[in-house]
Amino acid sequence: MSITREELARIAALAALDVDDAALPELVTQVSRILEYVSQLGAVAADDVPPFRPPSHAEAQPLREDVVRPGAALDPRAFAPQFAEGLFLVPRVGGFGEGDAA
Amino acid sequence: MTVAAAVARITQLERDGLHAALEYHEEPAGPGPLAGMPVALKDNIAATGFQLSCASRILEGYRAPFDATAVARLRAAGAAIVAKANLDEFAMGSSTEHSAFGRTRHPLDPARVPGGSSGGSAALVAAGAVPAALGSETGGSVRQPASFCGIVGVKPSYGRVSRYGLVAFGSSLDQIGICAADVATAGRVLAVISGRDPADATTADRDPFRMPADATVRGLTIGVPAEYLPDDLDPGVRAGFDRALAALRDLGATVREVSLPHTRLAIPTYYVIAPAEASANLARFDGVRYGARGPGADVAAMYRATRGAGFGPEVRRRIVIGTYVLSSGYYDAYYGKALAARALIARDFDRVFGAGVDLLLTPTTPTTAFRAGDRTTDPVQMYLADVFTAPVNLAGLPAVSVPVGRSGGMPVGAQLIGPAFSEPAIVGAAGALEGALDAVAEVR
Repeated sequence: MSITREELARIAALAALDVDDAALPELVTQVSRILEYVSQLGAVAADDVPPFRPPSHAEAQPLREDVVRPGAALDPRAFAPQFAEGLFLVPRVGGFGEGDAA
Repeated sequence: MTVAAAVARITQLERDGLHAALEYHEEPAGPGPLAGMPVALKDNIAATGFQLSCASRILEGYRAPFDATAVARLRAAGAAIVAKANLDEFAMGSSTEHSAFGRTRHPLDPARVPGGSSGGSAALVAAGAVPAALGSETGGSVRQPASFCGIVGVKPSYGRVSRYGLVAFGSSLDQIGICAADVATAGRVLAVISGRDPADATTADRDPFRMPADATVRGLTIGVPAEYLPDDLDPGVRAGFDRALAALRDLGATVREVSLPHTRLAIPTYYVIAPAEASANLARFDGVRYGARGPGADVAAMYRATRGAGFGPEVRRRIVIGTYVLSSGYYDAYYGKALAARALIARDFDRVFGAGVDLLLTPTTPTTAFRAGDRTTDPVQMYLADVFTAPVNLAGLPAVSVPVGRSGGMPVGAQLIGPAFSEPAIVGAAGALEGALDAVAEVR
């Protein structure tokens, strides 16, 4: 199952990943190789197979009480690229078009 | 071993080019069941006072803002964290060649890989720097390097150890694991770090692991899955496995051949589910709140530049694969099928354990440690290094790899696999096997 250059570029855009033109051919080859390998799963009969549940939670996922708790006491200024007046600063939000990350 | 001696040893190993420790320094030890034990941590596990890089440029310079639960428990038990160990970037790899900060060498042969992704952790234990190091397992990333390096590797049951503070890769697969010099040390560490954690809702509501009263296999039925002994298995690995099986028989275990017929689906299943989950988990690395930030005239361009430059080639490959298999038009054909295959693989184990088999014995890896560069050009060849370990992660089961000898000077490992939360039985059996074998003897 090979992937085309255009399709890989579309997937990279969905994943918000820049891939430069020089790296694209090798990535197409490698991803195609991987997809070809995993496509053997197509022969698996998926109907009537009960979904896997991890042994730790054979029953329903336990929930905690729905009460508001304080957030993590971390100072964003210690690790944010740009932070001021309680806000994480980023470039302008704009230029979203088809294929851009939301 | 004292903390000071551990740091001195690490300093010397790094000078000699092992490249297993990305950051290392002394910290005070305290009283408790692990009093004074120096421990290394894979650098995807958060510990205050240390970096948390995940061996990635996108987190270069990032310092951990809190302790992982496993780390808090180690420190409360008196252990001292002395090093952050190298890994394949974001735990994606089987050789520790995919670190953004350089590959780790095998302690016995610098031309070979220590395995991965917890290669730094395994190398530090094997080189005698620390008696124990935490790693993480998603598809075998503690057991495989443990087998390559000739040490003990423990993968707990999913839900046995809190994942709070472990940077997420595949959330339905990830578990913090233990690389250790011997089974007893691994057991001591597991007893400290395991147990329910309110900060991780996937931890099981069970008492923490307790060491078994004795190390024995007498009266146990050990299953040997035929699918794990292919005709083309490396002869040295086969000889090591046969040696381990004979030792278990001599110790009083009964051996039975069994079948896990869906084993052949494990690697393709893993390499759909793990990348799918990774594509979601790594979406948080976008340059907004922490980590590296790339240039961009607008935020979308900033995201793409940050992630394109910040992630290495293997991580980018897996994000692309994961995004593809979850995308419209492909979800059912890939992800839906992988979920079904996962259930079939888990059912194989349930059926065997429900038919009177107590534990399974298999080789841990299909080969001994390979040469650096041998598998970096074909990603699928690298993925096949996990063929015996990944099924265990898919089924959420526990397993322990024990060194059983050497082939051509390189370590060989065998793993014991058990039903969910059977760690006491596995650790007991692993201790018995360890005591019966000379782990450095040539197997042929």
